[in-house]
Amino acid sequence: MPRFDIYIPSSLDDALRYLDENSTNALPVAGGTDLLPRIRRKQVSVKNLLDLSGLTELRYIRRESAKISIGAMTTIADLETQNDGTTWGKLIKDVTMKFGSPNIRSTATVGGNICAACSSEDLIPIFLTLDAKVRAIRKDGAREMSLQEFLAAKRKTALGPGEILGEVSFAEPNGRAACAFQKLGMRNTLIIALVSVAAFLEANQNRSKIDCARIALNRLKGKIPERADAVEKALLGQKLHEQTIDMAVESLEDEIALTSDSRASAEYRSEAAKVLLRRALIQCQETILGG
Amino acid sequence: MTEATLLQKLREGEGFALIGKRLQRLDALGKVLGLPLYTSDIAPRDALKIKVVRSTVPHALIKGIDTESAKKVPGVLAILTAHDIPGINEAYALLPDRPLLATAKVRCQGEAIAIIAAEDSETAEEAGDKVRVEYERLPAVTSPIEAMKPDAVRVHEGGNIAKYLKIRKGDVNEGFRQADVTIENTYKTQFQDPTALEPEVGMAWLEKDGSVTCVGSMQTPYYVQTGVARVLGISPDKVRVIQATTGGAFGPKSDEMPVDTCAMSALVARKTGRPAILAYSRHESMIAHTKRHPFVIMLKTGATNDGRLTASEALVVSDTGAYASLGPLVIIRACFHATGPYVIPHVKTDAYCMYTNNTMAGSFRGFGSPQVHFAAESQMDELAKKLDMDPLDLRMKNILRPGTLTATSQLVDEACGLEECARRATEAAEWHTRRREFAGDRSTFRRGIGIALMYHGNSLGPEGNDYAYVHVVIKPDTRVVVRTALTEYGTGAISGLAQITAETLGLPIDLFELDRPDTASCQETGPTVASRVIVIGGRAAQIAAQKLKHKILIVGADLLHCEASSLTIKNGLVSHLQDERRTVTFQKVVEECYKRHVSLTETGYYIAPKCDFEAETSQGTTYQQYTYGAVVAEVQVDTELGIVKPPRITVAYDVGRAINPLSLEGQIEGGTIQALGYGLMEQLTHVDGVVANPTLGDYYIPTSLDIPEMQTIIVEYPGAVGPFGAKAMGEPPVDLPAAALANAVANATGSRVFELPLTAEKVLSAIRKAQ
Amino acid sequence: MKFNVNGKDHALVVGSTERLLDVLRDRLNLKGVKEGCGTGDCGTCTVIMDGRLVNSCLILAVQARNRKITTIEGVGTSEKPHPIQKTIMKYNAAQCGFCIPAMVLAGKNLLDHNPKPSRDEIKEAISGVLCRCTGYYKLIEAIQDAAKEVSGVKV
Repeated sequence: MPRFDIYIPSSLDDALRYLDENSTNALPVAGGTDLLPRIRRKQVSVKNLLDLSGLTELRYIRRESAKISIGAMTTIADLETQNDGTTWGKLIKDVTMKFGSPNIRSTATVGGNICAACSSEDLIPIFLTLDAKVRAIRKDGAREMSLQEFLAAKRKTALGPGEILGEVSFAEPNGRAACAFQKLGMRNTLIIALVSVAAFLEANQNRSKIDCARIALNRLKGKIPERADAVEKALLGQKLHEQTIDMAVESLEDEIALTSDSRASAEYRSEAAKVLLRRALIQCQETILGG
Repeated sequence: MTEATLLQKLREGEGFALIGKRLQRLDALGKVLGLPLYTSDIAPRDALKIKVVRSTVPHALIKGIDTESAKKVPGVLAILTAHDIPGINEAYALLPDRPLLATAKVRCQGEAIAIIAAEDSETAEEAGDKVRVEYERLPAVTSPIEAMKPDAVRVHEGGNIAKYLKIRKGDVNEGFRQADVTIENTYKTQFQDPTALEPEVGMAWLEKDGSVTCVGSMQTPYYVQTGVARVLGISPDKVRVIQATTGGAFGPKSDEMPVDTCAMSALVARKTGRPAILAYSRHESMIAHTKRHPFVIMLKTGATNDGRLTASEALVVSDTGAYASLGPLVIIRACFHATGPYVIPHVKTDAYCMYTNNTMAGSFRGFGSPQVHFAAESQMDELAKKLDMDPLDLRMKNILRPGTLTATSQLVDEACGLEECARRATEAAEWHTRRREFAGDRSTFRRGIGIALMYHGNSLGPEGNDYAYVHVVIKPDTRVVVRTALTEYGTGAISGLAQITAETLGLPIDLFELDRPDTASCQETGPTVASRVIVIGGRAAQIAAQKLKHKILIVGADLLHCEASSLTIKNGLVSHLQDERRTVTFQKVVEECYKRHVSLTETGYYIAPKCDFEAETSQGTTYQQYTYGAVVAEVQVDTELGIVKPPRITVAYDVGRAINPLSLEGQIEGGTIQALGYGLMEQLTHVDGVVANPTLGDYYIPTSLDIPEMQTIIVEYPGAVGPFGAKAMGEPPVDLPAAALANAVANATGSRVFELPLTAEKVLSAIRKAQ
Repeated sequence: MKFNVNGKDHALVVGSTERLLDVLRDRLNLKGVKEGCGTGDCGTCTVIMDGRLVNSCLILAVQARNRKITTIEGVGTSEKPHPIQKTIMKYNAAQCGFCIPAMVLAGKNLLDHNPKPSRDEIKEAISGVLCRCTGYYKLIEAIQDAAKEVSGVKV
């Protein structure tokens, strides 16, 4: 392990003060499941680590007036407690089950996952489809932005000097909404997704058409998770039936541009993305229409 | 009764006390308590940590090695290159083609160039990063087929063929003339990483008398002794090697790797006077250690319309990487088993072991057998499809049975349980019912069932002298120590030796202890490979036990005033066979032996008969006995994504005699899952000679969530060689699952994948092609 | 920093780059915690931290401050082994043994929270620990059998 110093803050305020004073060479670490291996591999050089893992002020899941707010230090294991049969609960049960291993889930955090800004981070497509907002906090204040704005490029977020991710929040899916998450990997657990698709559909009052559609893939055109605009357009306002799903899957073809590597070819990934999208949409359809 | 007769009776198995019992292993307690057992656990606190600077390119001249900035890092105690080797700069398993440290050239990624020793591993690593190696890159050959071309890049001066051999049986042209149907296919297999959970590690220190002691994770202490002595330029009797508890091995820890770790540690110890330890990181391990040979196999098979095989022509090519390791022996086994376990009158097989600039391939459980069985068994199913026959029927028509001849014209003896294995596996797996059930399946998640059969020539066969030494000591307190340089690394085989010894002596197992393999106290005994601990080591253990029993009975006879031949050892007593009242305790006899200076330390030595076959045609006796087996795999294929899930697998093996069915099941289950990984998800990928995925986050072995429901069937046709008729069973369980899965996938989808592993992409591609 | 390991409080000065794995193995001499990969992929470094399984190779020592850690050394003794240790021996489920400390901890943590787990729950609990020798079957059987003793069911 390359050498670095570490600062353990006594509170959130203390952490933000430290970061403010050392913004140029301090790197925050949450669970460490993503960052520590990268430091060891020298993919990241670090002089000072700011350990956020003990900040209980940032470890919460609040559900108030149909809004869910999750503190950045909430672990994936903490999320597992949300398994309560609601639309959100079912989604999170599915996602956490497919996330790493029980060991990883104990220490990996929501904040760490989002700030890694990488296609291997399962929560990002999920939160994109929930139209999540993120709250960047600093010593003298905070600012909110959409998750999309927050993700600048691979391994790059919109966090400025002295800022950390404090919270992610979104409207709780209502009774006419459905979520789905499909993940493809080469074995049943502890995998980095080859392809993953998250879908959120909300129907109108009598469930005759789609009022809101948000689709995200772990990779679409670039190296980070993105929303699939063409697919969403193809779904919006349409009846929730097979032809709509077919058209949505077709339109994915237009906006997907993946690359090949030693794990899989671009052609296979695109094929698989279409299949996963179809399955995610059918899953949503079944939930909404009670199929 | 002579010793030979006694052994004969024992092998025929008349009323076993312990053989066949599900006894607990002798070495489990320390493991479940997490006691410090492995090399890194027992390293001296002041041991220097070693970091190896390795080649980052597949083929290059070394123009310069600059260690100046590295030397300046505080806490660095030594930096060694090839020039610092006092002995011979060589570390090879078979062919003298490999240096310990590179000099003028590197031939693969990961080749060791310099050794850094420092007070701690961070310092060693920091210094390692500062070493500058100047490479002049050379073109690299990365495919074994390319390596066969006359204008291919030369990996070694002598050309790219590390070994060639052939089988010529009958006249293959005549055979194809007799065939009504001929099929021809090319099959490919991949590099598989052994992924022992404990990466390679070795350590060394100097003794007061200047000799060297090495402790490490290894399969064969005497190979390490020879290798370290050679590098240090000292006599082997000045090198003591002790095997520490070893966290998995599977073959790669039997050849170059433990020599590397121990020799490098020994060089540092010699230079600095301090103990030194070299523990590979996982990343380093996956690049540097030996893997399973990838193969390209071209098979042409001919048969009559009613399904009788007439001819087989095969070109079998392996990629052994930059250094041969045991590639020349792997190709022999592959060559001899390339037809699969069938009677074929005309056989022509040409087998090549090729050098490339990929990383090294070497010994790995199965040793060529999994690769050729994937090809042979896929081919049988393709033939069945062509002939419109049930794949089981086609096989039953052609399998080896007692009295038939193998591809090397060896006569199959009565100890051939292949037919029973096939029958019982397919019955248990409900072969016919499932085939009918799956036949019309056009659903998205399509099911299929596939079968594969195998034979596995036992022990070393043509690979070398097949002998073993086992020492057995009865201590004054009657506890019995079994000591040998054969090693335990998970198989449970050494506990099995104790069980065999206990059976032979007539003693309860709880008297027994195992001792550490140590060149100071154990005779050189050949390698612990080829599943030979039970078969060959077991015979040696029996002989040692027999000698001790003889002595006990002689002294007992003296105490009881009778003939030794009328006594037996049972239930802690030496008693008269006819009159149970005439008895003396085992304890008393042992005390008496010690009083009379009758040595109760005996060494058993056994050597298997040599194999005898014609060099040009490979016709003759290639192995002393064979293990047989059948695997039936069921799959469910997601036909939209190509993902293969294996809900169920049924295996049946003719094991000769199950010494300990509990440990045997453990080996069978473990081997099956290792082969499941080989079939479905494991692929160590080289891109232009550089390993693309040397991490466990990107190289997938099966987890607990990936395993099928499994049923194991044990069949016993006692063999001629092993104790109580036991056959080799360490390796055979990995030979077939990949083949059975490939056949099941073809059954499910109607299209075949000719390459391992059966990734989703390949399966989907085959499905699309068939549509 | 202060933390509790196997029921004993410790106060240590630790380096910023030391991992929990390093402190346990090298400072506290708890060699049962293994390093199989260093990247959180194999699970042989598993310890129980505040009632959850964690990969100690991915946790900096300072991040374990004030926590309660259990390693294999805190589970059972040769005179009084934990039920899982007994059943692992009974089924010869320990082959090379390198994954066994992690497997015992995973099994123990499961039974501490769920004394009557299903086979699927057992597989899930150990899914973060790789084993190359056993194929997992006898480990699962051992944990299932041990559950009977833990929950007081007469076998």
